[in-house]
Parts: sequence; structure tokens; C-alpha cells
Amino acid sequence: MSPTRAWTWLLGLSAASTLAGQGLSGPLLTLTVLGASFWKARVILAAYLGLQRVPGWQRVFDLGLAALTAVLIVLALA
Amino acid sequence: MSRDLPGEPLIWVLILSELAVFGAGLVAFLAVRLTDPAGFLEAQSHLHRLSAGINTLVLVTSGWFVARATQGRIWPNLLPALALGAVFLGLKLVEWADLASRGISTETHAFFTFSYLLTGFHAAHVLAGMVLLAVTGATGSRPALEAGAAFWHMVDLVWVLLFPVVYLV
Repeated sequence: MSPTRAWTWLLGLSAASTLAGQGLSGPLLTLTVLGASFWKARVILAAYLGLQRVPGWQRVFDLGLAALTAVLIVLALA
Repeated sequence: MSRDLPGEPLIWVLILSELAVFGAGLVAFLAVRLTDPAGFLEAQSHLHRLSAGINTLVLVTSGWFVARATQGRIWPNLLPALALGAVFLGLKLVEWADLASRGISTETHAFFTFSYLLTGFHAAHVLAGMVLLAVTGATGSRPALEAGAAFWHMVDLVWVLLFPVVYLV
């Protein structure tokens, strides 16, 4: 993924999160914005920090990020 | 693992350390929220969601310029990246000044203790990142700039995790 393509993804996901914050509430808001933040973090790690060139490490970071996001979602919905 | 991590190993130690610190802070924030969900919701309504949303766009755009600086011409990309970093800090200062003018401090509610701490610590990283980018850019060394850029992307990464937890959910 090129820096410009990554930036486009990040802009789109950020705009979606901000709009969701204005229009959604409850569990749907939580799942939408924390799901979007997980994908944004993945894009930054892959495209900007270069993990797309080392798929093994990318999987390790994906797992860690997914675990953190899952904990945040559980706590936010509790 | 088939290949080493890209860039300096030490920068990855820093990235993992920062992610662990901010991740623990966000988990603690949401755990404490369980003790007073209504109070946290009311306190959150005083934050500037739109300003923080704009700041997200500002920071990811600065990250794009930094990524371009590592691959192409340095200063034509670093200068707008640094300017956007300054915009981020400016918007944050406006938000804090508004909260302070309404008498909201770290002592007002546990929500504000966490939100000031997390966003303040992050803003300190933005400032440090700007200094690091300027210094590594001035050296003209690609490896040095890549290390500075990695720090900047880490700051960006932390914000995209912090923003929804503190401002939206």
C-alpha cells in the first residue's frame, strides 16, 4: 500500500468515526469507532511503519492490536 | 520470524513501550468508567468532539507528508508536516483553554483526570516528535529521518486509538 493510498484510507475511516460520533450511540457507536480505529492502526503499522514488508511481524502486531481492541470493546460495552 | 523489523530495532522498542503505556491508560480509563458511567458520559459531553475529529485528519495528513519525506524530497514534505503538528497542538490548546475557562480541571471528575493526562501526555509526544523531525531532517541523513518518521507515525498511531475511547464511546 502506497503512502497516498494509506492516507486515503485513514481520511475515510477518520471521517466515518467523526460522523458516527455525531449520529450513532450505544453499542453500534462503540463497535463502529473502535473497529475503525483498529483498521486505522493497522494501516499505519503496515504502510507507514513498513510492516507490510514483513508479513510475519505484521501478524504479530495484528494479534496484539486485535487483543487490545477487544478488551476496549468489552470494557466500553460493559 | 523470517525477516527483521524495518528500521532501527530501538525505535520498535520505543513504539511497543509507548503502545503498552497508552494501551494500559485507555484500559484503566474504561475500567474506572464502569464505576460511574453516567458521570463519565456527562463529563465527555464537555469535550470538543469536532475539534478532536479535525485533529485526527490533521495528524494523519501530517503522517502522509512525513512518509513522503522519507521517500522523496525532505523539506517540501517536512515543513507542511511540522505545520500540521503545530495546528494539532494549537487546536488542543484552544480546547484546554475553553475547558479551563469553564472551571474544568483534572480535579473536577475522574474523567477529566484521565482525559487531561492521556491527551496531555500525547501532546507532549507530538511536540517531541516535531523537534525530532526537525533535527533528523536537518541532518539530511535518510536513516536518521526514518527513525524520526517512525516516532511520528507512532504518535499518529496512539492518537487513532486514543481519540475514539476518550471522545466518542
